[in-house]
Amino acid sequence: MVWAFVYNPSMAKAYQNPEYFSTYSEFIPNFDKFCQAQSTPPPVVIRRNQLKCTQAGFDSFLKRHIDNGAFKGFRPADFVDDCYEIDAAKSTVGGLLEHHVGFFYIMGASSVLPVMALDPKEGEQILDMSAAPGGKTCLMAQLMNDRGLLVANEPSHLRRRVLKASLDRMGVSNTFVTSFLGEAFPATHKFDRILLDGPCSAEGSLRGGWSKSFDYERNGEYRAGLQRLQLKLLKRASELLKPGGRLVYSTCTYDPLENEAQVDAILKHDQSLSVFDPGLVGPWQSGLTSWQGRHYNPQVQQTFRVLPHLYNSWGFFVATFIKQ
Amino acid sequence: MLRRLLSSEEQAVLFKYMEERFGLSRNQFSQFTLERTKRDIWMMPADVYECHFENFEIEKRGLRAFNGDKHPPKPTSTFLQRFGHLFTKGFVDLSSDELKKFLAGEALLGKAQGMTKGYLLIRRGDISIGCGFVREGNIETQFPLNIGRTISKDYL
Ligand SMILES: C[S@@+](CC[C@H](N)C(=O)[O-])C[C@H]1O[C@@H](n2cnc3c(N)ncnc32)[C@H](O)[C@@H]1O
Repeated sequence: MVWAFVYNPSMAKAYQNPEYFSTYSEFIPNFDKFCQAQSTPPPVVIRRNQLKCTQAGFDSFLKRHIDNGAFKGFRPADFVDDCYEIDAAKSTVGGLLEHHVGFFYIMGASSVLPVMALDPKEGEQILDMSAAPGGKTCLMAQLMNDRGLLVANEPSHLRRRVLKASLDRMGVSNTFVTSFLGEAFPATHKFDRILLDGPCSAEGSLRGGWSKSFDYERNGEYRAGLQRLQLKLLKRASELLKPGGRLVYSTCTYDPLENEAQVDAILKHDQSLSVFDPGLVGPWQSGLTSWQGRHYNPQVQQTFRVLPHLYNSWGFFVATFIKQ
Repeated sequence: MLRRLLSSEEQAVLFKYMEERFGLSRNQFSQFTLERTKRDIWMMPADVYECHFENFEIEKRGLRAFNGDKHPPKPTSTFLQRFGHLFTKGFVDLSSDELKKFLAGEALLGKAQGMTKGYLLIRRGDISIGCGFVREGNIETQFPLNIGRTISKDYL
């Protein structure tokens, strides 16, 4: 309903209360702790841009801003490389000269995990099906050492502008930007690896905030449409993958209907895909094998969930597939 | 968008200019292909250039490296911020107060005494920032003002 989307700060608290998430209490361990974490903002995390900044240069950048008082402190983020939690307001970090010249990218630590699961390699041909604003694209380009081909696709014109600005700021040269609806991405070219970090209800990235675009009402039609789109995107991603290729499907949401249910559905549809465990170490929760009376393919146990009270970042879900 | 590979003569002129003005060795370009559109020169890894896509609309290909309208071509901020640390000359290191002026679009009077007319790289310590233009010993800013405005002046 439209009235629910009109910003009113007094609503923010109400929407952070556990009611919205109570549906998930049966599978989220320590649910009270989860609700507490979900209602507080995640730490400000920055990731060094290896294309522009050496570790020594980054160390002196961190020290400089401790000395001049911009940062109260910093520490490496757990389980992800090159990421640091910064004790400073996001606006302070975002305003720094070093941010504008692309020494680092501000991104949630859990956003790094789908890229680690994808494990991009130098010289490969990789598709990022839903790329804007581009944090994961830029990280992939770095891990590819800015070689090979990275196609960054994003259908939204406005968001593509942000994506292109991110690529410029990070100094990436190995990327082509395209504007297809992912489900209609031309199947004329096959890729070694594909990241599908597509549209989702974004419950995880709601952490500590209020969003005017978030579906607080759990609108059935909208959710069903979103889930249909997610499956279409997965089907097309599988068609675009080379034999032996790797596909990562990720969302920043907790809803099993957008996560395990989608993995189950694509496994039913496409027998050339199988899920595998990318072996990332961390306090993750395994994918759920059942939800609301529906049972999923046991392979979903090799997917993983990131919960904000177990890992101090945004909620995430990551499924890694291999194509035979 | 019409595009074509930079001819070997055009490449030779560009590489000579970058070597003479900025001390950037032509070897730094060896892993890249250079492509020309009407206004700009773009860089991409050679293996990217070799990927052929049929019926495929590509909105942006690689890194916009030079504004090719200008003679000599003007290096973009994107290029300077990525490769500026490799320059051995043709740059100037600004103090915090000078940088504030530069970002606000003000000329830096007398800051480039003895330098020949043309583009130069603006640095602050180990940070390559963008392009300035030397004219009669002064530096004029070529940095986009809208970006300059969003950079906090508190921690320069
Ligand atoms: C979670 S965001 C992607 C975040 C991005 N991967 C990053 O790390 O910066 C989801 C993106 O999917 C895009 N999207 C929406 N519908 C799509 C479709 N049909 N095909 C492909 N992408 C779509 C949205 O515009 C949005 O930019």
